[in-house]
Amino acid sequence: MTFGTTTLTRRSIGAAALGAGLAAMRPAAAQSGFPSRNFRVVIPTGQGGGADRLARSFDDGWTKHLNGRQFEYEFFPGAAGQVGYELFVSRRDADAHHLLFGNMGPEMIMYALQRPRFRFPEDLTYFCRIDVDDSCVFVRANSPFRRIEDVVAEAKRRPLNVATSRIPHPASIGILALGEHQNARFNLVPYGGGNPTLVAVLNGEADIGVLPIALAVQQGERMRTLGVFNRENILAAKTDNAPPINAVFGSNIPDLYSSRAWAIHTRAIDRYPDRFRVLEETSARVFDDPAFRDAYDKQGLPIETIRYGNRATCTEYALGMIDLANRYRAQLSAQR
Amino acid sequence: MPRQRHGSEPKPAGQELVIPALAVGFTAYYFWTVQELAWEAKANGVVIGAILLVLVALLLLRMGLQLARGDVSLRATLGGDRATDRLRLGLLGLCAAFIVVLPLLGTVISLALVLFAAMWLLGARHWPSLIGVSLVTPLLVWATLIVGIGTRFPLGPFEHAMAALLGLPGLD
Amino acid sequence: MELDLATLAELFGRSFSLWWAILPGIALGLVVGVLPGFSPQNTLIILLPVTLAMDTEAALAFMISLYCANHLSGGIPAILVNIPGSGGAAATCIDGYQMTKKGQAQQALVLSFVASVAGGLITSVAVLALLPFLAQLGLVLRSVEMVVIILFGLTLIAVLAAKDMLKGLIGGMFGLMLGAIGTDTVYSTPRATFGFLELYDGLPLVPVLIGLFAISEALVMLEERFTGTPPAQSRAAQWKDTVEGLWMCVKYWWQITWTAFLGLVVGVIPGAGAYIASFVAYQQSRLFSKTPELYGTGHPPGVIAPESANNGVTSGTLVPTMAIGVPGGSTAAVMMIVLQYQGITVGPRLFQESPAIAYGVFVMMTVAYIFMIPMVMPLARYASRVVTVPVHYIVPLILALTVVGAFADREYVFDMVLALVFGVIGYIAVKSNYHVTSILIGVLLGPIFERYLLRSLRIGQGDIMVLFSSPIANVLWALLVISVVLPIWRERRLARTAA
Repeated sequence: MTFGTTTLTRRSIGAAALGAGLAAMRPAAAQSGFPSRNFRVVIPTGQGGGADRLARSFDDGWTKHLNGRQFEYEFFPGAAGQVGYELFVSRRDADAHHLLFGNMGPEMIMYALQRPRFRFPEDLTYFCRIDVDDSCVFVRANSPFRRIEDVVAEAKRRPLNVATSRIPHPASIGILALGEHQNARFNLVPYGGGNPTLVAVLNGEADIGVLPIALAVQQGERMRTLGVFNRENILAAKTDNAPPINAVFGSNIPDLYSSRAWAIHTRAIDRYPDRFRVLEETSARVFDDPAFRDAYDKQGLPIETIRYGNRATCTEYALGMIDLANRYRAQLSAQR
Repeated sequence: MPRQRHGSEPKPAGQELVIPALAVGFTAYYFWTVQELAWEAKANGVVIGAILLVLVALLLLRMGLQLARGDVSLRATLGGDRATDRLRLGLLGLCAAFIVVLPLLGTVISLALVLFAAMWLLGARHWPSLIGVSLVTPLLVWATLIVGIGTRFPLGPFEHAMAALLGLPGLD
Repeated sequence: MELDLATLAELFGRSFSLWWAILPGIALGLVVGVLPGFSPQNTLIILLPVTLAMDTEAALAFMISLYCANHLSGGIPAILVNIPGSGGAAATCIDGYQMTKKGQAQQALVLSFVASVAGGLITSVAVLALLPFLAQLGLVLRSVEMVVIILFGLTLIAVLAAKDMLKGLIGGMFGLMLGAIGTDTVYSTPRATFGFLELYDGLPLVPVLIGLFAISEALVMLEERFTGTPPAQSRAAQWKDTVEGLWMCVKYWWQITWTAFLGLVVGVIPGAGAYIASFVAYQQSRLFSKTPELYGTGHPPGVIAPESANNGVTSGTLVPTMAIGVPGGSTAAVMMIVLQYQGITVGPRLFQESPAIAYGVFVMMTVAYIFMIPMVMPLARYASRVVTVPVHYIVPLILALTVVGAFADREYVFDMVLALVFGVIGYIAVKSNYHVTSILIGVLLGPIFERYLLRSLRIGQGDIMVLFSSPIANVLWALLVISVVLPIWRERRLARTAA
C-alpha cells in the first residue's frame, strides 16, 4: 500500500530501483563506461502508435545489455515524421545516448518528397532493423470483396476509396502501382495513422484499406487480408493464404514493406566508434532473447515479422525507398 | 456603435485596425506559401482567407463612413494610462529576459529572479512576502514538476547541485 | 457484453479497494489540470515506468483518476483568473470569470465541480448500461457527420460576436486562418510556418491558450491597481456560498444531464476532443435557454454546460478504446500501452476474456468521481481565495508560471516566445473589442474542421454533395440550420412584442 504513495509521486525511485536491479544482473557494457546514463529516444510518430509499442517491447531486452540504462521516449509526429527527424538531427546531442526509432519506409518517402533539412545517410544512420512488415490490402470481415481480384474488378468499374495511413507510405505506393498496372482506379484517403485507418475500413467509410500487415492481423477475425505487396506472404497461415499481389496479376511491383529501425547520428558513429559498436552488438543480441518475442506476441502482433537487419541492410532499404518515392513523386506530393 | 453627437470629440478607432491588419498580413503570407500546392492542400485556407478579406473590406468601409461623418478618428489607444503601459512593457521585457537566461541559469534560479523583479516592478515592498514568494514558488516547481513528475525543464547550477547532493537519478 | 448485478457489485467492491491508487491519481490530476501546459497524456507518459510496474487494475485506476480529475480542475483557473487549464475549459471562462467578477467565485467553482462530477458520474454509469450501443456509435459517426458537429462549435463564433458581428467574425476568421498553419492533412506539406519546425504540427494549443487568455489577462489586471476600488470578488469565502452553488446545481439538473450526454457522444468519436464538446455544449445550452441574453454575463448554465460536457467526454473516449481497440484520444492511447504491456488485447474480445478489465474501467471511473466529491468541495472554498491576492503578487505569479507552462507541453523554448506573442495579440484584441474566445475557437477547431472536410471531399471524390449523403448528417444539418435561425427569429419576435 505504501507503493501507491511513494512510487507515484517519485517516478525516479521506481526507475532507479529497476535500473539498479537490472544493472546488477548483467553489466555487459560496463567496461567501456558506456552508456553512462539513460537513453533519450525520438519517435517521429504519435504515442500509442505502432513504433511506440514496438520500441517498448524491444527495449526491455536491450536494457539488460546496457548497464540497465532505461529508454525515455519523446514523440514528434508532425509532418509525416519530418519534425521528429529534423529535431533529432539538429537539436539532439550526437553522443550515442540519443537515438531515433522510426519507420524507415514511410519516413524515407517523406525525406524524398519534402526535402527536409538533413541528409541521409550523411547525418543519420539506421543500424538495427526490427521487423519486416509487408504492406497489404485488407477489407472488413463482412465486405463483399472476397479476393483481391474482386477489388480490382470493381475498381475498373468505379474508383474505390482506399483508407491509408498517409499518402507518402509504401502501402499507398503499392495500391497506386496496382491501379496503374491493371487500369483500375484507386482513390487514396489518408487517415493520419494506423488506428483511424482501421476504423475507416471497419465502419465502411472506405471500401478497402492498405496498411502494414501486422496491424491488420492484430485485428483478428474482424479484418480479412486479401493480398500482400511482397514476393511471399510470410503470414499466409494467419491471413487465410492471402496471395502475393504480383503472383495474382503478373505485375512487377517492388517489395513494399514497413521496417522499424533504431537510428543514430552519423556523427556519433565517427566520434564514438566504440559506443556505436556496443549499440550494434547489444541490439543484435536482443533478437535471441525469448522475452522480446513474448512481449511482441503479447500485443497480438505476429512474431513472424520480426527480422533483424544490420546497418548495411537498413541503408540499402532506405535508399531504395527514396528511389521509389521519386518515381511516384507526382501522385504523392502536393507540389504542382 | 453608438453615433457621436456632432461637435463632440471623435472616438479614437485606430486600435480597431490592428487585429484586421495582422489578419490581412498573415492571410497574404499564407496565400504566398501555398500558391504552388495541390488544391486540397490549400482549399480550406484560401476560402477562409477570402471571407476574411471581404469582412475586413466591410470593416474598412464602415469605418470610412464613420470617419466621413466625424464620429471617429484614426487615433489609436488601448485605453491604458502611460504609467500602466510602461509597467506592461516592463513585465513583457522581464518575461523575454526570463526566456533568455533560462538555458543558462536553469529553471529554479531564473524563476526566482523573474518573480522577484516583477513583484518589485509592480510596487511590492513587503520584504518577507517578496522573498518568500520568489523562493517558495521555484522550489515548489522544482520539487513537484522537475523531481516529482520529471518534466524536462532547462537545468542550471541549482538543479545540478541538488541532484548531486540528493543523488537524484535522471537529472544529470 | 452482458453484465449482471453480482459482477457489477464485485467490480465496485474491487474498485473501492483500490483507493490507494485512486487518491494520489486524483490529487496529481487536480494539480496537473490547474496548470496550463501540463496535459494528462504527457504526465501519464512520464509516469509509464511506474504504471507499467504496477498491477494492471491498480495502474488503470490510477490513470483513470488522474485523467478525470484533470478534466475537472481545468475549470478552476478558468473561473478564478480567466485562464483555462486546458482547451476543454476554454468555454468555461466565458461565464465563469464573469461570475468571479460579480463576486461569485465560490459559487462558480461549486457549479463547475458539481457539474463535472455529476457529468462524469452520469456518463460512466450510462456507459455501463449502454456499452454495446455506444460501441456502435463510434462506427456510425463518420467524417461527414463530424464536419457538421464541428460546425456547431464554429457557430459559437457568431454567437459571441452578437454585439458587433463584423468584428466578431473577423476575430473568428483570423483564428481559423491561424489554425491553417502547419502541414496539410492530405500530403503532409508544411504551409505558412515561417520556416519554423515548431509550427509544422500547426499552431500549438497550449502557448496560444496561455498567450490569449493568461498573459493578456495578467496585463489587463494591472488596471485594477490604479482604479483604487477593491474588486468586488475580494470578499471572504463562506460555506454559505458553497451551499448556494449546490442549490443552483439542483436547479439546473437537466442541463447537467443532457450536456453530459452530449460530451459522451462527442467523446466516443475517435479523434474528437473535449474542446469540441464544451464549445458545442455551451452553444446548445444558450440556444435552448429562455434567457440567452444572460450568457456571457456570469450566467450559471454557462459554467455548467461546458464543464459537464467536458467530463462526459472522459467516459466517451474510453468506449472505442475498450470496445473496438482504437484509442479515442491520446490519453486513452497511453492507457492502451499499459494494457498491452500486460498482455491484455483491447477490443470486442476483451469483454468475454477479461470483463473485470473491460467493464472495470468504467466502474473505476464511477468510483473515482465518487471519491472526488469530498476532495473538491472544500477546495471551492479555499481556492476561491486566490482572487483576494493583491495584483502585485498574482500578476507576476501568473506570468511566470504560465510562461513555464508554455514550455512544459512540448519542451520548446520557442513555445514560450509564442505565448508572449499571443499575449500581446490577446491584449490588443481585448482592448479593441475583438473576442479572444472567437480567435481561440478558430485556432482549436480550424485544423480538425479542415481534416474532416478534406477527408469527406476525398471520400466523395471531389463531389461536395457528399456532405449531404448520409441520413444522420442530414438530420445534423437540419439541426444546425435551426440552431442558427432560431435565435434570429426569437430576437425578431421579441423586438416585435416590445414594439
